[in-house]
Amino acid sequence: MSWLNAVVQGVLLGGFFAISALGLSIVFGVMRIVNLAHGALMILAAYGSVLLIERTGLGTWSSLLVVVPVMAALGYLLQRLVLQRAVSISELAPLMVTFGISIMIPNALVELFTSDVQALPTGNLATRSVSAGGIAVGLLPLLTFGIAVVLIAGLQLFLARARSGRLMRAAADDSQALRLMGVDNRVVYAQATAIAFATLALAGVLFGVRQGGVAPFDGQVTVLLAFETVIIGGLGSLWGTLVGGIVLGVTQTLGGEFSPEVPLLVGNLMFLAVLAFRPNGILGRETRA
Amino acid sequence: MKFGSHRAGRGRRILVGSVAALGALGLTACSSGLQGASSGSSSAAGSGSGGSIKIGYISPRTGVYAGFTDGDPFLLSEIRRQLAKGIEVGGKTYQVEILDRDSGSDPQKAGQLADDLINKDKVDVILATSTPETVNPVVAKCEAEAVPCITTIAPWQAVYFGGGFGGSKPMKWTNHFFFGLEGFAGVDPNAWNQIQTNKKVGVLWPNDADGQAFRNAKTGYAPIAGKRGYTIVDPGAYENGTKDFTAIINKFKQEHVEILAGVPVPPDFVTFWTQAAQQGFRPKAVTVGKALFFPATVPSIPNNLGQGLSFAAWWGPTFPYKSSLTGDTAQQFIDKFQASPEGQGLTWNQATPLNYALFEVAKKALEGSGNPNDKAAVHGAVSKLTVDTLAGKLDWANGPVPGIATIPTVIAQWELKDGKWDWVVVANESFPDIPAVRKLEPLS
Repeated sequence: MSWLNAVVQGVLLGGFFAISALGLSIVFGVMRIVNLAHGALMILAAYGSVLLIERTGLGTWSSLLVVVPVMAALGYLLQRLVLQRAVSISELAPLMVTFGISIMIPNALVELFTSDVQALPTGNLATRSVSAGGIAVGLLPLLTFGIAVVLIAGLQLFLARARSGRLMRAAADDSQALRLMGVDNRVVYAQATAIAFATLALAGVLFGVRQGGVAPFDGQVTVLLAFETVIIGGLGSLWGTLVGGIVLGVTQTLGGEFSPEVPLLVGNLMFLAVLAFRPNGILGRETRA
Repeated sequence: MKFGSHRAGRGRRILVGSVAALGALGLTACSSGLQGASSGSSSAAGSGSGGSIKIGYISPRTGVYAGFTDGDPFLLSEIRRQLAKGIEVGGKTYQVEILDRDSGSDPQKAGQLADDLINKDKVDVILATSTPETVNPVVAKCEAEAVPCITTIAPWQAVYFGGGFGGSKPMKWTNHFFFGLEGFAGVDPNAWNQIQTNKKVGVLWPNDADGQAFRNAKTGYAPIAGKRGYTIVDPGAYENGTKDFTAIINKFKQEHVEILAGVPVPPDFVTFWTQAAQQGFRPKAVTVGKALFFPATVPSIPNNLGQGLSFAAWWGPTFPYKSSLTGDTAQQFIDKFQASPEGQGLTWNQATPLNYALFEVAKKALEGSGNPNDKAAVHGAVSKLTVDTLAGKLDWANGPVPGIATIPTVIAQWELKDGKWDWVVVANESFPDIPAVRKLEPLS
């Protein structure tokens, strides 16, 4: 029973990993930009919620209605004004830019909010659970998992059906050909970044709700786990992000059954194993180049 | 439905390289952003017949341990005010210059800063505070360069044994004050004894310096608590940053644990405690160090689950301590802090008075040295010192080992009254001068 419990908790944890990794996967899949500031931006979004709760009396969930669009707009502008220029300098320039942002955000947050944890209250949601067959399942992890599935399905549909979604896939595959067709690939890139930032904003607030609040340096560990999720699942595959999250989550909880010392270690080993034996990730496509 | 597959090969190399870079750089460099922000200095002009004294102060103003130094801007301006007229040593007045530096919570940087302070700024004494990550490298540098060093806020075993001292290698230049393991293991049972339990204690000892010190079979926590009749259930050393505690919670449930103790970092404790609530693990008493020390952590635990948690406290408004600089009591110090411009938007925490006491000790030692620019004399003066400070009575002549002075702890319990979080002292056997407000209330 404890094994089954570990698997269930691991799958739900995977939902959280997946949602944290989604924005990273999109930015990388479409623009080939490694966003090292991903974790810091998640935390920035959570602080946006904190600010709204304090100043306007919005609740944690209703604050999403403001935070998500604002972060999406920020993503659009950041891509158009900063990252796009960095790309034209060299392949490594965007890496440096996002690395710089990842340092600036937490330190600015310390200055503005102090290093104290800022609460993101959601009543008793985080502690409620439903029991089935002797296994207690937390309501919030369940909700997070559900959001991850719906979000990925929605994005998948968008990429497959919507015109701008198809343009994104085209821009990812061959941006020059896209320009020849008369489409400005820079606008497409910025739109993709906006979507990525919207998902990372949601992930950031969910992270804060999970932890009861946020502190400025919380993004550091989060971004590492997000990277591992993307690579395990397979680059450029949205469902792969979910699979990667679940694999990472279950590996960690099953590892915990053996000894509490090993969850993060076996998670990292799984990451290395995927790199060694299935370098394109579980759902990743074979590389042609 | 995939995008960008034909360039995936090159891209993956960038991505994988980035993960490695992030691991190597991210954790250390992330906190070096604001190093210039705190490098002020007070006026130093040789007005008296003496000379000048330079005091170096290294603390983690940014980075993961920045919570310990919330009160530093306040205490530094307070100290600079108090020392503006200089220090009188042997009838001569010396001007004092305080050089404060930010370690960024990074051990390498802390060591480098100590090096610069010693060799470039030629300081007379170095003060360092808050976690072994900042304290230990500074201590090592001071020992190597023969400069007097006064430190605090790190379990003394982590500084003394962790720094490789003892036996043939005594601490020659360092004086540290804080409590150690005994401040947890010797005091926690005082609170547990007040309620009815099966005396089974589940522990969260992470896989870090603190956790290892607690786990030590001979010098650790279990032997001390064992003498009081308590059995330790140790599920094993988990990694800081663990996101799922299901296995540990199950272990505690199987072993019918009724008391929880440990030294988890704040986010891990919140993860654990939230998940414990989801999965129905509810001990009768919780005495957890480190995580519950930060006043912002407890209110942030979801659904007011912080209610009734307790911890070993070393300082608070009812502690009978006074500043040797101003005569302020603990409560007056808190009031001053809350009213100051630097304290706006902050809740006082227990670290600030200890950082403040570093300067009290430095002043007393410099005064007693006869010649503040004589490093051996200054260190000799600290080692003989018995002084009442805002952090309590510090006595290096009667410490557990040479160079260490300890302060007492009591058990305090968090409560939510009229929408405000506060903690009250519930077990004071270890230091009866601190009044206990009530008994420990078991968690229902």
